[in-house]
Amino acid sequence: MKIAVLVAPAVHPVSGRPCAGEADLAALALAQRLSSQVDVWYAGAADDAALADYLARGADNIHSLSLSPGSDVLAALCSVLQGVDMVLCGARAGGGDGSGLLPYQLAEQLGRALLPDVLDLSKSDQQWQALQALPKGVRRTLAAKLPLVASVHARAASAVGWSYARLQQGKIQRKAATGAALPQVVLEPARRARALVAASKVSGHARMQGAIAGGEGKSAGIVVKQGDSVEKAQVVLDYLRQHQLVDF
Amino acid sequence: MDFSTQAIPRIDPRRPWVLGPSGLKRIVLGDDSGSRDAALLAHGPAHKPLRSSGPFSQRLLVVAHAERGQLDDAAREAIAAAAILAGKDGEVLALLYGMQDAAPEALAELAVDRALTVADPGYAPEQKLALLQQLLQQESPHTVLFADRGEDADLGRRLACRTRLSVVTDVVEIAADGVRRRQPGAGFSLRERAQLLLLARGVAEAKLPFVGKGERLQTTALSAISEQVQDLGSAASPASELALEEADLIVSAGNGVSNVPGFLALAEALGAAVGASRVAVDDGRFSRDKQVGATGKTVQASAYIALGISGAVQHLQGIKSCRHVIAVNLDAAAPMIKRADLSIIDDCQSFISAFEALVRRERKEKQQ
Repeated sequence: MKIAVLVAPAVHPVSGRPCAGEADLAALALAQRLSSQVDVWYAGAADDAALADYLARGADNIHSLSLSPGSDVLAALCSVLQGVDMVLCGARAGGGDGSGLLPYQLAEQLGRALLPDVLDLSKSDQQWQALQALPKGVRRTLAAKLPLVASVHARAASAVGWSYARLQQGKIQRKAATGAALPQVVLEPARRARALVAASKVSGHARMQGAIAGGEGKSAGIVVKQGDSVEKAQVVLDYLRQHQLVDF
Repeated sequence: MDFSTQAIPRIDPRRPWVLGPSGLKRIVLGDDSGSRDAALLAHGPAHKPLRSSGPFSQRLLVVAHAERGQLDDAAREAIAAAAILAGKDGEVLALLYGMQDAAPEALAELAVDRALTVADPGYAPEQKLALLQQLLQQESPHTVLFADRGEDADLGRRLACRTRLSVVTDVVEIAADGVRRRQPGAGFSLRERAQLLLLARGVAEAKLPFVGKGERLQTTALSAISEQVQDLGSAASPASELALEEADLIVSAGNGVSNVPGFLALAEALGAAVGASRVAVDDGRFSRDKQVGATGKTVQASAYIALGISGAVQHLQGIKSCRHVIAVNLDAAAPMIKRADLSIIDDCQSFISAFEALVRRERKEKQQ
């Protein structure tokens, strides 16, 4: 089975230098566990130094599609991923736009099943089963047939440690490619974002009364003072059951 | 002039009055009969005006998944953003999954004008996309808004790729000159307002001074659609095995908890993750990775049970996004009591043993 892993340099949160992205490393580790035929692909304008981390963390050979800055990588990636059985990538790149749209676009363009936010993949009969990470610790099992696209969650098991020997042995093969130009964006320094607030037409007096009635619009909670501990415990359990917070 | 000898005319500010024949209030001096104005202390629920009664010439659509029949703050903010962006002639439409039981008043309170409420089919992206595409065709909204988290983020991205609508993800600010999104490592990036916006937290103030119409939206039923990917069911791993940030139910101990083994037994019985306040961690009762608050972890559990925690500002910061907070404390004036949705004024030791016994008994009864 042929697996392609898509990687992209992330921005280090402290130093701001390019480094390997967590989710992409997890995708690389998962692919190497599943198959021995793993191709690592990158598309974009980053130089070799930015991809060096992936070589040091276990990628033997990176195919790099060189595009001019500000061009769309989708068409170039689609053309090389046509015959690949399984495409793995990180759920979100830590650099570039980091919009998390690429796996969805690839699945749509290639007409394949998409398994988002995968923690683990395993084969059963003719299908591949994926363990999907959902918020609040829920894990869902999905099953799909090949060919498929899976985006790997950053919490999945990561790649091997950084090794200088692997960095020296690894190679990056460059190939020129073209892509449609993306619309220009204007970058600004980060600041506190201004939230949309509805204009209130009520009088000042009404606003003052609203402020007295409840601090920040939140009514005060229930306070239970009466009864012994057993009765109070029952109150808490009733509250948890009423709001479906426990399953018994 | 000697004021002390003067008789000071004192006027009762709430003098009794009778309604005169002309319909005006008439105050009869020296008369005790008649009605008095109601005291201004008892506030009923404030009556909010309707945002706009129409006619509407354009529409915005918000898509949200409810959890346990209720929308979370991110989804409420998305609806609020739509209501603020709509203007006088804009109608706010909503496609709400898992809110089929919601009353029209609840929908109006959300500032939704017309809502299509559907039972959540679980994992069914193709079915949801078909319904959304039908809705887009029927209503042709100029903007579609999603909250950029969980199921909504997934569905929004699928819709953008399927319909080729222009999309901006992680929107942190909607302004007159466009939308701003967070760019990894590069601050904000300013873009043109797209047809489909995935909103990060804090884009709009969820509290609105108006209500919507709260009507129901009708569509024709769709035929069954086959899914590419099969759902084999989902399981929530016990909260005790999860990272604190991911847990849905947390019991947290503070200085008021001295019996740590008893507390841990309660957490195990409830199947809840264990948290602790800074004081309890500094004392060495809990490890550092259990600390909740500004210097520890920020949690987003549905239920947070704070045992013997007074609720310092730093701790309250860490539990800001918890839905239900239950506090057990001896001090009824503690800041945690003000934050909590349910407060129990009791000694923690006796409460913990009573609660643990109750939980174990109820669980046993459930299994039989």
